[in-house]
Amino acid sequence: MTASSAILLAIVLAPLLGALLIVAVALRAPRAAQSISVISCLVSLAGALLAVEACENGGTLGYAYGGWIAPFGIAARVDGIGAVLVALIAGVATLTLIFAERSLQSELPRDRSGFYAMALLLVAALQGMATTADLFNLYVFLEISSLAAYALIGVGGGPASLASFRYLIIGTVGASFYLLGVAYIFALTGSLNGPDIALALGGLPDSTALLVGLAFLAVGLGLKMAVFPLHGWLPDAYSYAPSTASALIGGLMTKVSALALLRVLYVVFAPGKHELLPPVTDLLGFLGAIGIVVGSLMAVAQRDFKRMLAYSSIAHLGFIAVGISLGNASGISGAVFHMVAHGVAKATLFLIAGGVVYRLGALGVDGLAGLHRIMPISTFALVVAALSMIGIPPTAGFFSKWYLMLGCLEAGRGDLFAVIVGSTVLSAWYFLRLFETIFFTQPDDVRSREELPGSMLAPIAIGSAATILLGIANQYPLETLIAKAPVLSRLVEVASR
Amino acid sequence: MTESMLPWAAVTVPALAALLIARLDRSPNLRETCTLVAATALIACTLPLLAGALGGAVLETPDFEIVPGVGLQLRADRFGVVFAVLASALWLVTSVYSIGYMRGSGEHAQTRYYASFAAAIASTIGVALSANLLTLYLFYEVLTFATYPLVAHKETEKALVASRKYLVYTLSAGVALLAAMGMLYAETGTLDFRAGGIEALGRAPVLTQNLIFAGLILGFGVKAALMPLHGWLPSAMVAPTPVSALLHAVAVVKSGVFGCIRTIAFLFGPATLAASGAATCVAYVAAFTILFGSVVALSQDNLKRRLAYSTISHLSYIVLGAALLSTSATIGAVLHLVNHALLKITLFFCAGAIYVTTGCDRVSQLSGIGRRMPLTMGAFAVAALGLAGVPPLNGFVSKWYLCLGSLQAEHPLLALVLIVSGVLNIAYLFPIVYRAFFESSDDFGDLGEASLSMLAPLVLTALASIAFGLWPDGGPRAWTLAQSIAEATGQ
Repeated sequence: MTASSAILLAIVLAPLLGALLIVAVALRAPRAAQSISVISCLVSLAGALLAVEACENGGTLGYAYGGWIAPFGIAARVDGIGAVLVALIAGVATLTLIFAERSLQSELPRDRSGFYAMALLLVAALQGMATTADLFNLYVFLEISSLAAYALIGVGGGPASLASFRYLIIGTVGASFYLLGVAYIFALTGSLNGPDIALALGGLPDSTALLVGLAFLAVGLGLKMAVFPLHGWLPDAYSYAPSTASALIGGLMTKVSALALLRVLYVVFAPGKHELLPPVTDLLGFLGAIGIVVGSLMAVAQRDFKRMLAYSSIAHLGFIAVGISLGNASGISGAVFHMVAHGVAKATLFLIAGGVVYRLGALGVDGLAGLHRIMPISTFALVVAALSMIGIPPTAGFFSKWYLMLGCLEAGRGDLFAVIVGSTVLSAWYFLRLFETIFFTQPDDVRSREELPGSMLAPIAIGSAATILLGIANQYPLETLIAKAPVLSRLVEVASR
Repeated sequence: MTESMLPWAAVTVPALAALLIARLDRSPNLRETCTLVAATALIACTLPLLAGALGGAVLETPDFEIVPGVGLQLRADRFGVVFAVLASALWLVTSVYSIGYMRGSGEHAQTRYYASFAAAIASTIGVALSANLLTLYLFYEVLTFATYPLVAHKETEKALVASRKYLVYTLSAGVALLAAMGMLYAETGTLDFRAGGIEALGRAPVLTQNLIFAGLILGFGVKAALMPLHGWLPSAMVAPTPVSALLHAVAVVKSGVFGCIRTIAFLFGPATLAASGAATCVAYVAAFTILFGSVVALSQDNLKRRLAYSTISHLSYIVLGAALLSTSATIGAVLHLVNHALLKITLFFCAGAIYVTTGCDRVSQLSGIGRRMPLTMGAFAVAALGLAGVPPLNGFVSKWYLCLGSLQAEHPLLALVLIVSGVLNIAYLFPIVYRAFFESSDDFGDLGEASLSMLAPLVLTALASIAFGLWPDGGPRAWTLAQSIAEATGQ
């Protein structure tokens, strides 16, 4: 077994084996569940960091499952873009699961080992999606991640069960659409491997069948990614789930679906060869822009902190959709870096929401009055993460926005440029209203300083520091990893021809 | 140019002070000591930068790339140094004054106040020393967030409304700035400030040039309170007086003006602007602001609001000077950046001293106050004369160059605007002096001058205004600097 296969296996298998191990020991040692989950995430993280190093400057890692070489077997493949996502998934999962134990004590008083097993299953499935090069294998991981997510949302009880059921219905529709799309592509090309399909498609003329296949793939992944107007399942799911589950699902799941969409659009369909691609990407960009505006406005209208974060996610997924739709290196780099920037900041914000519930028990935007007196360090972390969401330099959110802006200008899309720049005002609006409530509203009952315990505070502090570090050191992920990924160099090559 | 970390030290000192102050809520004396030590340390950082700029060895921090071709970089060039030294010197003076004011009027949340103040100064120094537009934008946005708690300080409904208004104006300005910056980068691939402008910009399509220029001027114009973008400034006067004095007469508003000059002289350059004619538009907007600001000031009874409209009008002197694209006008602009700061801070200090001592904040309440507070009102009269441009005060020097510049640029009408504005200055400031000294009232009983920590700063800044009028090139060599800036930018 070579080093690259070991790395890829560690990334995916460590959380999967961890999940099984938890189930096996849960009856005898329920307390071990958290330790097992954190350790498996750390192993996955170590693998992800090795992958990041290997994918610098256009490098890739590959592995054939079971030794069956593609196109006959299932291939796993990571490039600079995949490595960034893999590291994001492992990093956020580690932080969230460290945070989880105490937060779950207040939200899920019963047995928690099932939660950890499901969370690890979700992480394994997301890592699988991020590393696979096979369309059908992607479907399998997509279903695993969805099943785990239904369970994680549903344990919230009460309205969460309904939210989970709704997500289940919509999610299954999305997955079925995706599967139908894969079937069309398979019927046309006889292959399921991404690069292999691209070769086969290169020799085929564009056909209605291909267009239908592409449409099914795009709508299915769009549903999972919650692109406007396919976002209906998201707000309830995010706001009623336990905060740790929201952090995992809100921070990661939609991003991985976005990555899958990116791969379908630009790996499976080789750039510059298909006439039917531009209308699809144009539509995606248009819907993304509407999502930005509608999501932000809806976020402004919310009074509940977690619901506000949920709607803001719809807006930020709009940013990612716009970036992907642009089809040039700057735009796609911006979209991928936005997955990271938003993933880290949003997960941190959901963790803070969990911390507030743990301390104060309530969570309306108005319930946060005077928070800086009770939890000063968490409040500071909240401000930093919020500034990244608004896009204030030097946080990571600014730099993804910057690349998206340049991508719009390169593509000559002044309208999308205006939406991306102008939306800053809207996101500033709802976050600054939150600041005003926290800092300048007198709380009903005065409470003394009572900062979160270390195991909850540390993940929050690390997450918020990461948004600044990623911003200052953005050139490493953006220029060394993302921009050098083979997908993007191909795009640049096609554009310069 | 010499590589050095000193510019970073100048930004870090007040930033660290802000963090430290936030931790010292329980011991006010230690907290205020921290402010004073930091202000002194900051001056110790900026003076070597000044010496470097005067000696021709401009200090520059190592380039740290954050966008391809653009680094997070500070450079203490001559223009930046002028602003940095001004802000750091006045921070020390204002800190002394703040202690007297905040304790004298028993303000709440003083820890938040001092911490935000230090953070605002850190970002102002960052704005002054930025080597490129992206770095400047970073500090410019941070400045918005650092000053927001100061505007909202009183936490009353009025203060909250004013602070929201402030954010709406400044964040929208940030959006315009961001859009223009993105277009500039996409067009030229650089955001570096170069004396005389970025050459590649002159070859861009005129429409693109004008869009970028409009975005930048809108973005900086809000903080520079160019009409009709000035609405936030009079409302922001709800903040404690030292905030109005240093931030809303010097640091924040001058960051906007500073940005306008960077745009005109260091990004576009006179050649590009003369070809497109865009600067002339700005000059006329500024001229309108000068006149209209002064006229509105006439009708304000609230003393701080009157001063705020006066600030609006005088900020446009500086913008006008830059937009005229002539050597003398640029000298006048740089000098007025300094001179107006000294004069206006004196006036605000006086307003604050009166407020703390008597509780009066309206012009109509001030009859006879001059007899009780002769030094304060004396300083007020000196600063009022200076703003009107009466020799031998410093305001005269900068105004002289501005008038000369308008004639050089063949806009005699604008020279007339400056002269009329001088008359209006007398009209809105001198009734206050007259009322204070020559009308009598028994309202003030046996009140005396404000405490020494408030009195000393205002006397000091008034004396400095006289000194810089008599010796424009004394001390920090503002005149030499202004001249070399004007020559280097080729205007």
